[in-house]
Amino acid sequence: MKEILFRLENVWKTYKMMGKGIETHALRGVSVDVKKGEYVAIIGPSGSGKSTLMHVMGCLDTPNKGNVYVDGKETSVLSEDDLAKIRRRKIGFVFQSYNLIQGLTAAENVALPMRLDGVGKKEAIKRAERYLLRVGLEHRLTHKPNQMSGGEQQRVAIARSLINDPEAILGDEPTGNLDTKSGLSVIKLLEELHVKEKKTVVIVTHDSRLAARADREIHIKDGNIDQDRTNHNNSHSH
Amino acid sequence: MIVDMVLMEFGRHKLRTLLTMLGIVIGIFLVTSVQSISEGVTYYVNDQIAITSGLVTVIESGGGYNVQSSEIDYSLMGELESIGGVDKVAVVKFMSFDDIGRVTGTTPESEDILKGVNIGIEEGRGAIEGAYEVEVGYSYAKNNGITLGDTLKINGSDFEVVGIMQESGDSDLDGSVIMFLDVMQELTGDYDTVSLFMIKPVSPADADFIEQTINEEYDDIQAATDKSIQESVGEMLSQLNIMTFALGGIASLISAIVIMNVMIMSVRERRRMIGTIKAIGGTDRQVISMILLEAVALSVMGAAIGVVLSFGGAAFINSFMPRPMAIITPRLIAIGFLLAISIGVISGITPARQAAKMDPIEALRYE
Ligand SMILES: Nc1ncnc2c1ncn2[C@@H]1O[C@H](COP(=O)(O)OP(=O)(O)O)[C@@H](O)[C@H]1O
Ligand SMILES: [Mg+2]
Repeated sequence: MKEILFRLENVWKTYKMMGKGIETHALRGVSVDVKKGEYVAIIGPSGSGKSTLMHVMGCLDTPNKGNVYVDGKETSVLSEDDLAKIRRRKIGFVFQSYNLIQGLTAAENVALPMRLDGVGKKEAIKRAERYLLRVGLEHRLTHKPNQMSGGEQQRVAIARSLINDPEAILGDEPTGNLDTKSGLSVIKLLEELHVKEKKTVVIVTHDSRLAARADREIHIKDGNIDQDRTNHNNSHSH
Repeated sequence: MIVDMVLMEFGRHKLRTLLTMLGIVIGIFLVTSVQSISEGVTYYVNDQIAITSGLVTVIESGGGYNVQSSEIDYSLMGELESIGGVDKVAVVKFMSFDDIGRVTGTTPESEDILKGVNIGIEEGRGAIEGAYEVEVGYSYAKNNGITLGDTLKINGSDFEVVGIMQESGDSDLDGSVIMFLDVMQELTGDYDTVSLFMIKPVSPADADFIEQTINEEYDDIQAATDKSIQESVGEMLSQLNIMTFALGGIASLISAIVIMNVMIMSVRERRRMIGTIKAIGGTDRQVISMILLEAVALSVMGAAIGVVLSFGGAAFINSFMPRPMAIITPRLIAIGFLLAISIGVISGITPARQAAKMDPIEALRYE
């Protein structure tokens, strides 16, 4: 039995529209476990609560009701600083629109989480260069985001998510802004990290073909888990 | 990392950075320039008082305290000597000659009074009355490479340097040539006017009475003790200080508002970047430090420019003065930077808190 990395127990997330008293339930009592080393796809229609689920899992957002455990720790009792530390060390985020910092070079962007963790510039940049090599961007070290293609930017973002050697990579539609070819190569990179480095990989997608590549598909509908199934015989699996 | 990010931000918005600093630049420039007068006057007066301590100084009425341009009637000396409490009266005449610059003329009795107070001869001996001999001030000798036995040509006549004075701390005296009044009178043909008298009271307690008597009985001359010089200069300075304070207050307020507004705007513009920093594990404190540092760096850079400009401002003020009065002292520069740092912190707090409060999800959703 593998260790559980993320555990959500009856998680509700409700948004109140200002003034109007209208409530939107983005999550309606979701319970789910993600084990260490799993490769999970979260799939569902737009507005079904996929991103919210991923944010709550990754300690970017807090539920209104229910409990979230990361690596066995209950997150509701943690301070803002502790949550930031989890995001910095245990989790690497990859976003649909890359979210690189425009004025910084690829290497500086990748180094950022390490520098936020208190590591000096030289050491962090050296390590960042290693990770850029790892994602096949050794020729883009000093390029700024606006000098790179979308696929390249997303690879920089993946390198950034890896630099503090996290347990898990959480990707919210990481291929959403990419063409099919570069999208596929980004997915393959994530899969390689899952296989070779035993990273827990959770991606949000609304592309069923991408979801089918994962070991496990969690289908979300109206803020609830509709289906949670394991895919056997995937080629990249161990 | 925080410093890099701040520098990067300035690099990306050079013009905006400059415009934001403008308020601080002007404010620090004005405050430092105006306050440089106060600094200079304080130095000058302290110099002056080092020499005249315990004496009552008598100069021409209405000329401020500018002893260089004071002209009083030499014949008053006898009357002053007869005032109760007066021990001795020293006489000093300042002249300026084209060939050697400032010359101070005294009498043997005056020298005794002055030397008794503060100044002695460092090297050589005192000049002899009637002889074409001079003593030179400490810095005059140093700056012009003058040694004992040298000959100085003053107004066409040769004078031998027979003594070099000790450093008095008074830049007027240290930078001048000292000769006897009788020789000076011979040289200039002016036997009637001198620059000032210095009265030595029988006891220090008599000084106030002497001052009062002279100021009540004479219209053309005014007397002042060290204390009253300090007081009246202090009064003038406090008016200047009030002006600086008002100027500084307004300038600081305006600069702080400008910086705060620009920072609030730029934080909003950068919500995506700030959200990203928080999402990848930056703490609220790191975000706050980043924005605060940005505000402080803006105002400190502005202050640096303002201080540099204020040297020009001081030179401008000095161009209207008979002698350099405005001095940019290290103290003044330090005050300017401290002011800038506080303006930076004050104007940075609100935008920094707004940045730290940003919800990373909202910030990332924002396109
Ligand atoms: N800040 C918010 N305020 C109000 N409603 C929100 C907010 N964020 C998300 N929602 C709503 O919550 C639901 C789920 O959103 P989300 O998790 O982003 O869906 P998905 O990622 O599956 O498209 C949607 O109906 C969305 O409109
Ligand atoms: Mg979404």
